[in-house]
Amino acid sequence: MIEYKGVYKAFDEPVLSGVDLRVESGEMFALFGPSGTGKSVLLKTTLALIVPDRGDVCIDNQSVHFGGRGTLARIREKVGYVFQYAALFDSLNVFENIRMGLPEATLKRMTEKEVAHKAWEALELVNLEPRMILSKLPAELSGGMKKRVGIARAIVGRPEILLWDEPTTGLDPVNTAAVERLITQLSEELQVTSLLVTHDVEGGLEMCDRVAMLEGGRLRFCGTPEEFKNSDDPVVQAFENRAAAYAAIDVLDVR
Amino acid sequence: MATPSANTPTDQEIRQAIPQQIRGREARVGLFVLAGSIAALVTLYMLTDPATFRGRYFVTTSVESAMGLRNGDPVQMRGVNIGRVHQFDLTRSTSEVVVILEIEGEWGIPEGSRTRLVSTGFLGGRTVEVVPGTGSRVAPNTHLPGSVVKGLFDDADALGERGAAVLDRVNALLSDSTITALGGSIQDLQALLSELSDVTRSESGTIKDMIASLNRAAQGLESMTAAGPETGAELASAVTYADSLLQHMNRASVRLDRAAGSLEVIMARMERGEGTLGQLSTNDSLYHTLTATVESVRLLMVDLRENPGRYINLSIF
Amino acid sequence: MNGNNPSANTAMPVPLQAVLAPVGRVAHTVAVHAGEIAILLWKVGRAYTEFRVSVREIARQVYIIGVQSIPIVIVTAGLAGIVTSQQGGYQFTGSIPLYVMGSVVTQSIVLEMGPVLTAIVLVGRVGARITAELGTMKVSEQIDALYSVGRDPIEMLAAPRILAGIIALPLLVGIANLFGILAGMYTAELTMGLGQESFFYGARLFWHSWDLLYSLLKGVAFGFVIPTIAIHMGLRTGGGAAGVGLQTTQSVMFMTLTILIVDAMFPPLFL
Repeated sequence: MIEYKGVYKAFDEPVLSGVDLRVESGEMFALFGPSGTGKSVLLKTTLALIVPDRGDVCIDNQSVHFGGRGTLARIREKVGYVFQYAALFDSLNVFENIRMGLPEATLKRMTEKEVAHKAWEALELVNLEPRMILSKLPAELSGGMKKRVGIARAIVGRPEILLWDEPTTGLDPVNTAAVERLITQLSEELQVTSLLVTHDVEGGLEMCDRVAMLEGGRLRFCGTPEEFKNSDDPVVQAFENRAAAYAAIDVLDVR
Repeated sequence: MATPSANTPTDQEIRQAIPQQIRGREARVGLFVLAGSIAALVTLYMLTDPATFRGRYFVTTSVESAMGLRNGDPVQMRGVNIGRVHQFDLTRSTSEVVVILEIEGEWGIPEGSRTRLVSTGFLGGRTVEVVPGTGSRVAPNTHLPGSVVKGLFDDADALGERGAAVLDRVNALLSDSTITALGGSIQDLQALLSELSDVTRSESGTIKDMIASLNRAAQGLESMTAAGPETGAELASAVTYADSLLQHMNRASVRLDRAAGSLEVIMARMERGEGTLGQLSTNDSLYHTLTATVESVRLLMVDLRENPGRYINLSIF
Repeated sequence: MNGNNPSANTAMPVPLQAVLAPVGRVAHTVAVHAGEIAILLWKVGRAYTEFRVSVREIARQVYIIGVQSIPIVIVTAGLAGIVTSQQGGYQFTGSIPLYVMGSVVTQSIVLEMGPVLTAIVLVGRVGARITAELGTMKVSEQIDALYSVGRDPIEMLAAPRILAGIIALPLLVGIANLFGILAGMYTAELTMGLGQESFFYGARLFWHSWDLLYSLLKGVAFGFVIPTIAIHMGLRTGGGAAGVGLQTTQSVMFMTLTILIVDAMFPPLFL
């Protein structure tokens, strides 16, 4: 379970103005919102990649920001983070990148062979051919492949929670659909709690158990996809309509 | 959906995936650390010339003051570098510094040798010179008597004081007022000399003429005195008186000549910077007195020429 | 506040404000940098004391910083020795014995040009590289990715580089000193006819063994300064590729200035 309690963050101006949100264990949760509303900022506060000015985040009732270094380290071991542009380590090859997804304590107990098997499995889970790419550097991979390697790195340690930061942004519609399928499959197979930050409203509404919308640094909506579609809130409606229009344009382009 | 398959990686595929440069890199790092350490040691060796692998022994000497001698300064014997200064010890004696010299094994110091601390140049470098004795080679840790040879720049304070004193005297000698005064004195004396010469020339002619006319007058008087006994007696005494006056004038003329000669000598000596006139340069009052004297003499000579009768009373009747 | 001109500050005369405001901004910037570097060094120190720094990674960085810099350091030091020898010979008059050139070259190289030129070369070669590398990692979220997989970027990236700099630079300075002196010696022999024995006689005349230690100490100080500033500037990069470029440039200026300041502090402290 992920719980956001009054999270407030300002850079030059306030980005998050007191967000309260709860994501239950095992559910797939999508977070929508226009650009610049703080969706990625909120996601990063989950793992203390950004420290809020006020408020806290709790994972399974353990404080991320006030629990101490040891607590934070344990939380990070059970959370996998998929970055928007994969954030692969440039100087390491695919194998070494995926190996970094395993906790240090676990690595010390494993042989290189066992680690290689783990990496192999993770790449197969994301539908990549390990033989082809295990020794390649990130610069030698396509955008879609990088994204999948990033996912493989996030899941290799069998986390309990997966955080997805705009997983389909920058991908063509074919890859977008493939990644969305992957997200659903992994969530089901690995029985993880998933929190997606996405611009893909249609995909989010299809995949997720619940959705929320951030607007002006605050939570505008939180509920099921049906409730979102049927919302009376004009802001929600306008956002949904705009998103649908852009989705249609994308489909027309593909055709 | 792809499930974890039996398609597991082979050992070769695993080895291919794991970068293998690590061992070679560590060896190169090790070599680099060695190379850097060796470079530093070689530099130190080149510049300190340690006698690590050569036999060396120590002797000691003591001096009143080390005069800025430093560790590593050379020890020489008959101009040959035989070692270097190793260390100083101020604790063994309250009045002397014990200097420990490191001598290379190939050079032996004879018994009876002593040491001297000398300057090697105006940069202030020091060397310990071993003045060899005539005996057999000394044993290690022998103590040699030592001394310090002060060089030109060693006692800078005393040198400076002496220099300052000399400079003061030269300054006084060469002061503008002294030079001007001396120059003036020389000019005045030169003028006096030339005037005396002129006087001597001109007056001696006049005096000769006077003597000649007096002689004629005396002869005329003689003939007159022959004409009558009373007139003749008075004339005779007047002539005798005039004669003695003439002798006086001759003597005066001779004395004037001698005075001019002396003055010439004095001028020459003055120009050569000899004798009492040296004192003139340091004694302005003497100059002023002399100047006044010269001025008086000059006035006298002028007056003598213009009014010789004032000084020579010739009365016939 | 003036309602017509909200930006007008009526509390202070404008000319005085124009002078004090930049001073205040600079002071604030300096304080921020100082604080961030202090926090960085504290975390690095903690990583060392908890033995959480990979020896393998330290060795890798010593290779990059030290081994790969050897050629450029040798060339730079050699040229410094040649120039010092030639210029010294040009300035010598007949009143100074020629063997003093040995001391001039040696002391110049060992006390100053060896360590400082080596450091300046490494600012460009190593410092800029570290800033660009870490800056790129920062803007591409790789630093965040390290945190997300439970790794500490300070332990993995910063601590090994700083320790590698402290190890590598004195060794490079030792190599630079040797080659600088030898180059100066051969130049003096070729251009002034000063024999090697005379050169070293002059070199030893004014030599103190402390001078070599002083030189190596400078190497340690510079080896600490270069990676510390480079890492600090890299980790605060923002703004994409342009930000990386800007931060790298500023980092080079910062490192160069700091090296010269530290160099100026050495003589009154250690000589």
